[in-house]
Amino acid sequence: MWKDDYVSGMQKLSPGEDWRAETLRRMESARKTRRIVPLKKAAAFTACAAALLLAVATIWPSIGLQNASGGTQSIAAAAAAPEEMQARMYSAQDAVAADENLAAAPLLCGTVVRWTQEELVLSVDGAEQTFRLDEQTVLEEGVLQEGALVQVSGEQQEDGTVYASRVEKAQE
Amino acid sequence: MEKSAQEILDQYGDMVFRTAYAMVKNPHDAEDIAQDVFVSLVRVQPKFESDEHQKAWLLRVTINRSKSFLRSAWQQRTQGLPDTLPDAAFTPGESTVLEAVAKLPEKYRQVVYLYYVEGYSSAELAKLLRLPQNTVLSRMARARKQLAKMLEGEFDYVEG
Repeated sequence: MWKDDYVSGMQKLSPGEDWRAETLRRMESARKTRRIVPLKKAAAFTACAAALLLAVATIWPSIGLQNASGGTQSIAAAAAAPEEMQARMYSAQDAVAADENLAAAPLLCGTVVRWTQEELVLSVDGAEQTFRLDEQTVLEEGVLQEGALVQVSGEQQEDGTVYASRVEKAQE
Repeated sequence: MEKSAQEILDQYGDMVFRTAYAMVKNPHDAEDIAQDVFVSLVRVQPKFESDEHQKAWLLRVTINRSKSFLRSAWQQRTQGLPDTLPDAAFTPGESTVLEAVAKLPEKYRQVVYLYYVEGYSSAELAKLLRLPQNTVLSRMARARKQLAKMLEGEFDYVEG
């Protein structure tokens, strides 16, 4: 029967040993790259948190001055905070900017971003954890088809991991 | 427990390569696609509930990558590499059938491979390929019909 010959013929197909060795090498290399990403994301998360703290710290002195009972210690601490926060923020931003893959950055504050198809391909293939849960969705829904413009909602977890909570075709 | 790259490759390497080959009909292109699929698996690290879930993910990604490859501007412009059977000790019957299946349209090759070689039922294929089950069944029927025509007189193969 033809199907028996088809199955036995297909089962004889196998990639070569060179292919296995090269694929294994590339997989190990990709695995090592992945380990770096959470650290960069943690730095970016720090940037978001620092920006928020900076805003609070900038406003706080004026609030403190209006409250005469606030005490000089808290005012002095608040006044010192902006420089420290600013330094931390720039440091974290530099760390993020040094990352080749900036595609992950727009997601970090939980905003909705619009990516072109090219950017999304880079993100899926290059940002490692950005689409940890949604690579499947992205690939299966076929949004990588040529010309697709995709809208992604991101969400930052407490551990610094970013999940794409929604991936859909955007209106052009 | 998370599997090592070596374990994943040992378990699914042949399957991913064969799936890509069934789609693109050239062993060199199939190797490139299969390699990309495994690298993508490591980079993205999807969470799988079971081995079956992981297998289905790998098949879907391989099929999608193969489709993208076949539809790429470069592939359509250059017609790609010629269809070739990989180096393997095929019997005359196997060579004849593999060549006949390779002449089927892509969508028929896909279901024939997944049904006969990977052992998926038509209902499972419908879920995997996100197609109505009737579409899967009609593709199978048309594939068999075309194979029957191609293999007519060659061997005593042709039946449902």
